[in-house]
Amino acid sequence: MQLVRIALQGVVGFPLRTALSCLSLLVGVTGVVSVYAASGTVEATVVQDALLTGGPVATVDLTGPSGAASLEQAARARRFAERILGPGSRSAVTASLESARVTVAGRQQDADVVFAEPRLRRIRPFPLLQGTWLSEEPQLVLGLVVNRVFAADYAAGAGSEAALGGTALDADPARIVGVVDDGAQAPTVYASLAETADLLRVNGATLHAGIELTAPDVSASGIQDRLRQFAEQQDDGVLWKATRRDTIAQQAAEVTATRSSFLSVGVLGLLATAFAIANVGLSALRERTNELSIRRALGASRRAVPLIMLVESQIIALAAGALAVPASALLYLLIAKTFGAPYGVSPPPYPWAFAVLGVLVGMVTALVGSLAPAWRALRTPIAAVMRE
Amino acid sequence: MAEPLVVVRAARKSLPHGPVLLDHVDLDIDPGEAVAIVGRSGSCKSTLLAALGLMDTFDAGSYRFAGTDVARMPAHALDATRGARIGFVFQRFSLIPHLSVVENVLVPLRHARARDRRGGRARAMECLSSVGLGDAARRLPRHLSGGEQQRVAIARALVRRPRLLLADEPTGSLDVETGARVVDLLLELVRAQSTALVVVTHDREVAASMDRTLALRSGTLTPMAPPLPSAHDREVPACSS
Repeated sequence: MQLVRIALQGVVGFPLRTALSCLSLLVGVTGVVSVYAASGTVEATVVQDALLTGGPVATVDLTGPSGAASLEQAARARRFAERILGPGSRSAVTASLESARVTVAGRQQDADVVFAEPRLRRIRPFPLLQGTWLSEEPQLVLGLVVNRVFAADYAAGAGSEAALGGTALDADPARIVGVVDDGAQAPTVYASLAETADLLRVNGATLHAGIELTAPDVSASGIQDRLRQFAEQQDDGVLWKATRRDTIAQQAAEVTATRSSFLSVGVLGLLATAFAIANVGLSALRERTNELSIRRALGASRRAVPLIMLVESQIIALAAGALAVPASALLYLLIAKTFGAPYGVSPPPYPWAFAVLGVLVGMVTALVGSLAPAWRALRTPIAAVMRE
Repeated sequence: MAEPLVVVRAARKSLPHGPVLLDHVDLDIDPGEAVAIVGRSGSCKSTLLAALGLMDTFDAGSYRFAGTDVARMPAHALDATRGARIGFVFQRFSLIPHLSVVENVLVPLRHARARDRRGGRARAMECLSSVGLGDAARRLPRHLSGGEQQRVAIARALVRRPRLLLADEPTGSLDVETGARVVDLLLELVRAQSTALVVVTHDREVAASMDRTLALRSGTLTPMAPPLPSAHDREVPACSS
């Protein structure tokens, strides 16, 4: 208890040193936590974009047939693929129509139109920004879902009146039922295959069907070979071309490398903190050495000298840590809110491990900085105090 | 007859591979006795004082303090004895600058065993009052004059009621008038609690106020002529409790 009291006197007796040490640690911990927050948010964003645009790991695009019959051929191939890939697989038939046009508020808009089974969202989990996703059930009015870019470019949102048509028919009246974040940079409209069957059939000349599927162990060449065998059995002459769609693993690897660079900057910041604290401690070396020598002359044991400095340094480090952790947590929230990930992506949780690491580094460096005077005092003959 | 508080016989001290600093030092100091050690600068007066104060050791000879052979005492016992039984007054006061006056006086008690710390603050205030600085308890040393700082150092030296008080040039940093007042105060207080006093000085006035004076020449102590009469019977302030 006396040691703590003596150490506290040192903490209070050198307010500038204490404040500088606390500030150094505060900046160090906050810095490393901020770097972690920024890099974590970047990683989450990139991974999310990769997931939305390319699907999860092992997602394959199957393309091949064109024309009005291609949808039926795709549906057969999808059932076959699901059967051979097992229950862990997910798939959806998609189609594009070269002549598709979308009208919003009476004006035709330039946008990609994707005709898809609503189950597409099981593969690519588009976060809903407004309204709902495509319905599995028949609707009185054709429901369209637009992406964020479309909604922003054409000032359209859930509830907006629209129309979808091709070359062969007048446009069907439709309503935008939802807005999603699909990671795409171009305006895109999603329409249900089932709800647009007539439109697609009539405009079959420019129809291209495809399948998007994902499974834990799927390989593009493997599924392509199996589908070729299936086509031979069916004698429908369809040759499916499989291409790997997902980029999430590659993106994640690149982001991890970038993140490591970020974190090395954070660690360098912590090291700078360590040197700053040690420097602050060493700057009072002579004064503290004198004090410790006086204490030795007045009865302090040899063991008491390093203990006083140890306790004192840890009081400073813990006080700084007590300030640094909540301060960095607040800053972290601010960073997450200001530069946070897009909708549907949670920022990484507050990195307690890094905060604790920062405080530990502070404790160790405060200790190192304080042991120098203790070491010098122990090496100085007690009688030297008589010549001071 | 009781053994003197300090008994030094044929003590010798030299630098490692260097010259002899102290040689054949014999010294007896009785409880309550005031002794001056004079000598020129560089005559190793402070070296002798450090050895007497258990801050250093003699290389040869014997030193018995309060009946105990110092050479046989382990390091922790030397620390404890130095803290409990020996007080120090240094030439440059050696106060801890960031501690208040009363906290400076309390320093020896902070390093004492728990039972010796009881009533420490009251005792510190009592000692400060006895040196006339009861009102300055909360001030920092830098706000005091040199004479006042030396009085704080005296209060600190006496706070544990030591049996021996060692003063190294206690007036060396003070003007003549202030120095005389400090020495008078020192004598009053040590006599009040029967503390032996050894003052190292090169000031003959200071030496004259002690019971006896020894000269340190060429590393050896020799008695000097009887000192001038000193104020042995003065009334003493309250630090004697």
